[in-house]
Amino acid sequence: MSVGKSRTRLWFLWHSWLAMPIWAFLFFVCLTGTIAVVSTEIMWLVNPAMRASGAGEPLPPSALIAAAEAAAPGGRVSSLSWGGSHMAVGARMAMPDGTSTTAWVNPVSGTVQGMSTGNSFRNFFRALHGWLMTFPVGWYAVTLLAIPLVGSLITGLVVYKRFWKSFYQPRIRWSQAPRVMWGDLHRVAGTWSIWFIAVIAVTSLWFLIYMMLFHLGMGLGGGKLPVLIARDQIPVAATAPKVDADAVVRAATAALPDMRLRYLWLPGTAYDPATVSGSSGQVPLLPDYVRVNPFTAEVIVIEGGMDAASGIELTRTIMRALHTGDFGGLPVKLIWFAFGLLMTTLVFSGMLIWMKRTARATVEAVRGVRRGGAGMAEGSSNA
Amino acid sequence: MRKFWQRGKFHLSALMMLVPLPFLPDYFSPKPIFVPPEIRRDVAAGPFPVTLVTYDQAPRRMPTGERMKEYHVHLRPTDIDRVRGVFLRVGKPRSLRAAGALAFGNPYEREADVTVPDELAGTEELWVTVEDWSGGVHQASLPLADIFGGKR
Repeated sequence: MSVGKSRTRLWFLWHSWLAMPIWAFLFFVCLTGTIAVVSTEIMWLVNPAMRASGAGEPLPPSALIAAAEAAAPGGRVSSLSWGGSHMAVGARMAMPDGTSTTAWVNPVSGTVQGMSTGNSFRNFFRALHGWLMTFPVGWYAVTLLAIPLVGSLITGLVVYKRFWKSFYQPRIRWSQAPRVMWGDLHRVAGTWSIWFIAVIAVTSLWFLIYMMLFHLGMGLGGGKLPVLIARDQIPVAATAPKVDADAVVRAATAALPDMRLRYLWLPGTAYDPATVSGSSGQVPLLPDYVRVNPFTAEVIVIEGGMDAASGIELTRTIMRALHTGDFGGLPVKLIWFAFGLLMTTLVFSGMLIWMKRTARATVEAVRGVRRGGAGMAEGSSNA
Repeated sequence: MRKFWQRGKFHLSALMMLVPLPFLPDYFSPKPIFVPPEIRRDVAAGPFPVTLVTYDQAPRRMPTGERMKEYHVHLRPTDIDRVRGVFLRVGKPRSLRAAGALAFGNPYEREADVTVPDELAGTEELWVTVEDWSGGVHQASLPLADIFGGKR
């Protein structure tokens, strides 16, 4: 046997062994991540209160705030989120018992269609996928998977000769033995999702490195100083002046006319600005944040976009958007969902193939080395 | 048994799925279930009664190296719209500009992350500064040891 062939065999064993001992965990993380991509859409399907038809003239923010606060005694709206014309506006409220509640307000009629308390399905799947609900131990357990992921991708490309043929001649022999079928499926799915695996692996690696540096006290920084309103700019009054939410949003949309409105955050303290956020089309990965003086409704600064952000912050936003597929609306999310399913299938089919084949191949290879490397076992090609 | 182990050992990583289980009940309850005991103290900053609450826990060490203690600040609901800001600081503030950590979040239960010096003599005081919307400043203090918590 040629040296080249035995080297291929070694690459192949690496490819098999990288994921096998952790396959079930990797499978779980891939599956929960896939669900997390479309978690908002699942919530929308399950909860009728979150739906809206979108027909008609939308109400101004102040009307939505008033409707939400009227529906929850003592509730104080801290933010509004718009999810598109098919979604009710989510009004997040601080409640007198220290918890928070989201009221789903119809953007046209102003009816409060329902309330959600506590953590949402979306946050649950984020926590389950991202840190196994225990931070930071779970975060490291999950992000460390980036290493076998990168390894599997690279070794897979080496052992699968002429993998690009799968792009124009995909071949899955459905009617053959299951081992053949799963093998074909693994190779075709793997080839078609090269870009996706690379994106997920690199972004996960970033999450790992980023958190590691942070915990080592070498945080990358890049965060901007918060915008605050100087004490002498704050009006003197007997009681807190009511923030004119309509004027705030009007000022922000006047500053960025093509912005698709996503969030309004009312000031968290008396010294904080109100923030209006949305994506403005030119740079879909990077949302803009418009900081507005809540007392005068003057725009203080526009953050985000290409020029305003530091390199680190830019990287952080892009990495997050690329990992979650949350940057181009529903079409991109569905692509991410489909390839997430494909990647989950890759883990599963890899395990099946391994159980049916590689265990034996490894025993034979080890036996071959023991014999002095004279006769690497024949009989289990990687085709 | 041996055969079971031979085949089953490669699926052991499925046990990682058990990791989130103990955290589920706490996650789905609106208020934390397993909380350390709380310490509550009432002070009056001028006309404003303030209740401070903290967990009976040592301060956290931040990745930046400083020690941080979290306090929850309760005002009377009728005072919420009269108070512009509540600041907490270890040691008497020299001016309003350095009044300490500004409490933020839910107005019914604001929270403040207060920096605590590494070495404590035991005589330090926690200063509460309340600024109202008409510009008035009201202060109160209490011994830090009374509302510190944790083993010392």
